[in-house]
Amino acid sequence: MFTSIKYLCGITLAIAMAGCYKDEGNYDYNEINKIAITSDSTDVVVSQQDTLRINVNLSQTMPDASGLTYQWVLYPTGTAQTRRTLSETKNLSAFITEAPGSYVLDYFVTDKKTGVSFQKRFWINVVSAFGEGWMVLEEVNGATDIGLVTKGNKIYRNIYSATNKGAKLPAGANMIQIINYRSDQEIYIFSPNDMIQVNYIDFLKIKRFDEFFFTAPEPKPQGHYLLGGADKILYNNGQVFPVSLMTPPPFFYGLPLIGENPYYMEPYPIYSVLKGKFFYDRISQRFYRAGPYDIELSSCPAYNPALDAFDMNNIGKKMLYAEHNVTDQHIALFKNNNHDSLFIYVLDAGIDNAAIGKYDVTKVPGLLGADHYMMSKTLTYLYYSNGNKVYKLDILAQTSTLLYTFPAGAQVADMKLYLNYDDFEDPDNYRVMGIATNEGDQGKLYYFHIAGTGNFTGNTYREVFSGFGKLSSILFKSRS
Amino acid sequence: MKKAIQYTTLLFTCAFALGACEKSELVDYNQPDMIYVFKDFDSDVKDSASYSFAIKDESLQYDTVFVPVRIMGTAKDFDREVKWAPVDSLTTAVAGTDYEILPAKVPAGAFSANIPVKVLRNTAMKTNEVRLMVEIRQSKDFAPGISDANGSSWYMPGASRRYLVKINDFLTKPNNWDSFLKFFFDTFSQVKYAFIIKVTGRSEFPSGSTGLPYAQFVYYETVCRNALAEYEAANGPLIDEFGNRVTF
Repeated sequence: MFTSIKYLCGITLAIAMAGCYKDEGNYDYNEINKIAITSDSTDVVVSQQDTLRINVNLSQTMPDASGLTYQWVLYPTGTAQTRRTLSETKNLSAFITEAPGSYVLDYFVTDKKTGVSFQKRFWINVVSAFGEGWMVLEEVNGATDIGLVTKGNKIYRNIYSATNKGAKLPAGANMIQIINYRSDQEIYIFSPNDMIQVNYIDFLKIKRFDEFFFTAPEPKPQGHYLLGGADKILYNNGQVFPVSLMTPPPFFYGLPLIGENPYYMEPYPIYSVLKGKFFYDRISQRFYRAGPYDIELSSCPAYNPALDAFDMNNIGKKMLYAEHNVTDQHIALFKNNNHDSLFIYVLDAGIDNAAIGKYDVTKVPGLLGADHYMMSKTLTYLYYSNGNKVYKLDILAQTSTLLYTFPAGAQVADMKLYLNYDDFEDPDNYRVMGIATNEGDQGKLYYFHIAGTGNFTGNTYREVFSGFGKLSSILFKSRS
Repeated sequence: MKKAIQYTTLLFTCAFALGACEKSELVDYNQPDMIYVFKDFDSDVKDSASYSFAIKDESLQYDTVFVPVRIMGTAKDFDREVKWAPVDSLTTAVAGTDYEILPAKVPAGAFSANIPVKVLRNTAMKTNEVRLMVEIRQSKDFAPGISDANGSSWYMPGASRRYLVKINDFLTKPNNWDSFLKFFFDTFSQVKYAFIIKVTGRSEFPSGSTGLPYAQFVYYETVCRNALAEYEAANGPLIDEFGNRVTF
């Protein structure tokens, strides 16, 4: 009996102690083939509808005749909903149809003999083919379409009709605008009786005019602007439609700002975060203002001769143009009602007494009768064109400089500054001016570099692109 | 004998030592299934709701007000009964005349439900508002849950066993007027509210994340402002029941 108990105890202890046995790991190991994958870069940018090519170098420690298999798998970064095998070849050559965005590309090399896989990861940024460049509105045979000159000087034409089943832009399309709102980019095309929005990636038509409203007015759109990131305004037939971008969406327009009397506002945005919006009424020839959430217009502060350069509530002139200059400062060009005198009024939209300067520029050559204007964003210079000539007005000195003369018969169609929203360090920001001209039967797009003096570097253009139809509007489009 | 003691002691020691290897079972926490009125922190009707037949079609004779409830405990795979009754001392509404008690349940698998309270229209409501204080009572499936917790944030909502329903047939201040609508329509009056309903074509203006877009409130504000200007041009100022001029 005792012997049995003794054995039982011994066995129990042995089992219990077995758990304490240390695994020394004395196994036999066999070397297998190890594969090292190298390539020039792991960060690749590729345009949508283009071919992604990646070459790799493979080195093996124990190559075998049975060989290797390959797999390239692409899926979006973040929470991947889809994955696509692009290729099963050693080097990659695949047509990219994915939407613009960030993707992960995993490359797997598998040793057929051992079944062991080795992986290398690439980061792919798919960008729109039409992501960046100068957009142009060109009319050919009475039909208007969108073209794009990329930063690599590749020219795409008829982009809109190619995407929209052959349809051309609304008749008379003559202005293109962009609103960069958060990470989105909104592209609007204006025509006398419509304003459409197109997708910034492929220019597919998204909305027509009436779809921006709860109750749409008769369409006569004049401009669409984002002010300070929280407000949008739409000018239509002299009426100002505001919408606050407070959530929840949708951000439809309601009714125009209420005025004390009937008004017709000139479609030039003047704004500051602190003081809100300013408007110039063509009928009463005076300024009005409205705060971010206001639904009605109000008068500007009463004129104080000690503080104000002019009376905001009593201008008595016809506004020809207005644009933002620097900080909260805006420039407005006026002509008197006798059509023989010109004035520049300077407004600081960020202070109570916004009327800060007034200059008589009647004698400036070419300004009376000018057809296009554009403000410098760094200096108090107003660029303007008159026929085939481009001038620079030094507002403070009230003098102008003839900067460039296009060939006789040429007509400037539009002037815009270059601004790359995707890269605020871009050295061309506000230093390159795009000018569209119509010369004979073709339109041309010129790039002029602006020197520190405000004049054109070398007194001539940097690049020119010709062969367009009749141009009406240009604008630089950044990547979004 | 000595050996027997030694071996027996050894055997018990081993058994005792190995006993430590026994897996400990989880301890159950038992609580009776309970149910309470859910007070969404951001809701304008978390404590009470006003129901007015005045903003409904004239032909509507009854409607249903839903009181949100949530359970304490786990969901079950069968429907469970919820019982409620009026608190007599706090209720002026008359059963069968002003309201009816409808059967309420928490569906199988659900953690929340709504108690349906049928509200009945009658002529007395044109001038008098009645109050119905609903209280959760013990049912065969649920005991009354948490009482009087106000909540402090959207992730820390409140709870109660009672909920007040006010029923009338005249224009009363919408539940979200003071918290939201006043920023667009200013001071409430019945005359103003009737004017808003007339010119906007709608009588309810839900706000919040599931409500109307902010821009739509601005739109309605402008619609009312313009309509009032037209009204005043034709008729003079619009005066409300307090003798004040209606403005927006």
